[in-house]
Amino acid sequence: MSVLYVSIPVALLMAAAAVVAFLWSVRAGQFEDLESARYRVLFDDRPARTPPPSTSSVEANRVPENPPR
Amino acid sequence: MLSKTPGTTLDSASAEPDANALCKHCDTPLTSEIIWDDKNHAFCCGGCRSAFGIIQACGLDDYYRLRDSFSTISAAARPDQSSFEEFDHPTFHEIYVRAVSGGCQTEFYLPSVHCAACVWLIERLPSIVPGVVDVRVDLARSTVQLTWRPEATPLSAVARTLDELGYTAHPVSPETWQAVHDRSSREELGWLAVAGACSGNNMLLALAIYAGEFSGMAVEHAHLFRWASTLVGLVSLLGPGRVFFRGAMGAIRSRTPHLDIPLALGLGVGGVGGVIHAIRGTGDLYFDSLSVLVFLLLVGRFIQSRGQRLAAQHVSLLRLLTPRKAHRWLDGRVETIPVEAIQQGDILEVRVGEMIPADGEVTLGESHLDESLLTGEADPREVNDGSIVTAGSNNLSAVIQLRVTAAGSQSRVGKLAGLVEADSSLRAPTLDWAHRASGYFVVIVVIVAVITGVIGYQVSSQTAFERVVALLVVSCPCALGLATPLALAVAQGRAAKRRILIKGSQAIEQLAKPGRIWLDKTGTLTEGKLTLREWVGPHDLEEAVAAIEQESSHPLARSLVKGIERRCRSSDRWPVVTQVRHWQGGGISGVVDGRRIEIGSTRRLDQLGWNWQPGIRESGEEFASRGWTPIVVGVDGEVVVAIGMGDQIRSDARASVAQLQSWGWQVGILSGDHPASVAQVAREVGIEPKNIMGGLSPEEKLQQVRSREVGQRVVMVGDGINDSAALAAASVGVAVHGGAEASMNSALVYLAEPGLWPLINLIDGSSKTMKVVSRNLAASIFYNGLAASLAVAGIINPLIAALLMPASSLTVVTMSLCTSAYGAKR
Repeated sequence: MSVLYVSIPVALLMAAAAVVAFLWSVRAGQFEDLESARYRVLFDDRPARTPPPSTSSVEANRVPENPPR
Repeated sequence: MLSKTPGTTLDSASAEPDANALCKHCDTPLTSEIIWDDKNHAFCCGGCRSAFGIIQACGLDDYYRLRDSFSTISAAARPDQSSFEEFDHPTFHEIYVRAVSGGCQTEFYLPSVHCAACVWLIERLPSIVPGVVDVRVDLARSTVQLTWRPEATPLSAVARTLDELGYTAHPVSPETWQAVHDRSSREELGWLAVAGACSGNNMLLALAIYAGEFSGMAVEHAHLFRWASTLVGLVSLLGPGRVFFRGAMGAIRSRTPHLDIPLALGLGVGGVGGVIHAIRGTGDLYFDSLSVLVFLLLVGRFIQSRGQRLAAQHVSLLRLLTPRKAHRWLDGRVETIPVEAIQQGDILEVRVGEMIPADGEVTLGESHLDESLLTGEADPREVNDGSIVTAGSNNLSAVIQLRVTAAGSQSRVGKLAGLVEADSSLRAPTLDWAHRASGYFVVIVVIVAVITGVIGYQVSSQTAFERVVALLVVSCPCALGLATPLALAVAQGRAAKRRILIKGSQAIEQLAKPGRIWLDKTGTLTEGKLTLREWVGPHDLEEAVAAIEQESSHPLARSLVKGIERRCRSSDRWPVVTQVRHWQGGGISGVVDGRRIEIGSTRRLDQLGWNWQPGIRESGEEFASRGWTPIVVGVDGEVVVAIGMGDQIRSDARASVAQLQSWGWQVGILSGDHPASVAQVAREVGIEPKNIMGGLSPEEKLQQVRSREVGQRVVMVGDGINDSAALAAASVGVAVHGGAEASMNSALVYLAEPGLWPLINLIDGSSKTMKVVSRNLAASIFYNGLAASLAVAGIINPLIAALLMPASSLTVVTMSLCTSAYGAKR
């Protein structure tokens, strides 16, 4: 049973490693927003199509008074 | 506006709105006004059409699919269509923008973010607006952290795009930002993790020790496990457990009872005794119990502080919805600036419906101001050239210009806010009763410990020591330390779901037992705006009066039109008016169906020398005596109608006051309004005249709230800036829906739903919560008493302690979670 002299310190070290990993993630702010993260994994990373419209064309778009066609 | 002419497409049937047609973007049912785009999609407004256009053009139409699959409320947000140019002002950047690597960073509050689809869409912003580097949405708080390159795009353009997508941006102040990214909350979570790991591992080690005791284990192996358990236990006590020793030291130094004292006593004696036993190699170790104890106590504390932080954040985010911009005249043109950039001597333009951003003197224009938030007076005040206006009042009828005499903290509101802050920082923190009870607890435990020691000494000094250690460990009031915060946090969380935001849990305790409650009148007991209360005279004139009053921009006229609209339920039938004339000093006339109709004050109609029908003058005087504003109507030389315009009492006010009184609360009114109208309201809601006070200045209100006997609880309920000092000074200040920023800031509780019924919910929930807390106390005392008597008798061992303690904690946790407080709907 002398293996206990090795296995218990090893087990404790593993626990300590887990705690350190958790502390790192807390410091990195990973626990600040628990709401959005669970959705974010479901989105694909496909970027928006197209030449992103320049700000000016967005501008033109926002005037609602253009009659359609 | 943009109705499509029928017949231009093949399926002209679809061009007509059917009853179930929904806006393509925001999913609201379409009304008569429909906006079409070139692909024949129907929208409810131009804003929705352009939002849909952008989303389509960028290939982001997945948004709609995501929205439908995630969201319960499927309505997308609607744009506000303002220019946001104040976001580019240097002062704005100084306050709200931080420089980071790769550009500038700021945070916006977007109230309309509500589901995962919003997160998805907003986080595509870098591909829509060039120059935006990174966007992170926080769904729980509806905020977005934005990093962008200012040389590539101005912030206003980013805000405009967000707005076009339907998310109106409000800047988040640095204080709020700091409160959110608070270091101490991260630290707390870190210690919680350490305590959790220690308790879990120690339980495993303890399992080996107990198993060894029952089935036999080699002595050297037992020693190994004992030392490992001691090591882990000491890490737990000296790391995360340090906070209890520190708290106990502080409490002893300031000579106040605190729950940390009995906790530290149990943990400290248990720890020292355990180490001595470990060194000796014999005797019981309690480190598994102690580690679990530390963990559970920290869980309780973490839940409590998290609940309070969330409520405080929510309130500070709501505050952001008050206007933050002003229009300034400079070199002959108007520019939009953030309110922080206003300086003395600036000429500002205040448009209809906007709030006056600074104290000043009117230089141009005539208008009516709603000053009810400042003074409690419901009637609008007329202002013109040279009138002095104060920040926080609302401009009702026309554009005015003013020269700033004092801005920011120098303004009257700013000074009042300063007063409030000073008052809240002076307020001694209320001790909750778990802390007060702990004083007795310590005394009892110490007495029992001494008796145990004396009895144990009859056997041997060794026995005495072991029993005292066992006693102090098992009587550590863990259930108490866990149960109270948990019950309060559950109550806070449930209250928040019902839109009652409780910033400090001491409010729950204070509200559980009846005391004195002061209500503000305007905006609290009443709606805070003028409505049509009574109409004396022929009712067939209503439509003609409404038709004429529609021509006026006077706030009274608008309320009157609204009141008549509600009575007639339609504005289609209103007759045509000719020869409309406005009279100096409030009055309007016109001709309807050939009859000349005069509408105005009694004085104005007196000047005309018209004949008064019997009863009309008396009705007018009676209205005035009730504190209402009388309006009279004359037709062709005869005055035939008297109209009473008054502040409508909230529909639930009477029932709420009666409910409060039946619970034993002494209900009273503190108002800045005229005593006569306060008395009238008091009569209507059923408050005794001896409990009402009218015509009070903010300082007098504060005085009234402060002048209570020691120990008496005084609750103040109000909405205005004039209440804020009193709200801060009361045992519990409750700010009601629609209140001013200052009042939300100073109150301990904010009711985000209109009406007084939430107040009843709050008080009812509080007393239920405190009942749960006392049941928890009873259960906790029962377990501790049982364990303590076992310890005194000397028949306890660490295994029994390790079983009893989780059992007691589990009981109180279950009881805390299964409460009906804030559960039942009205």
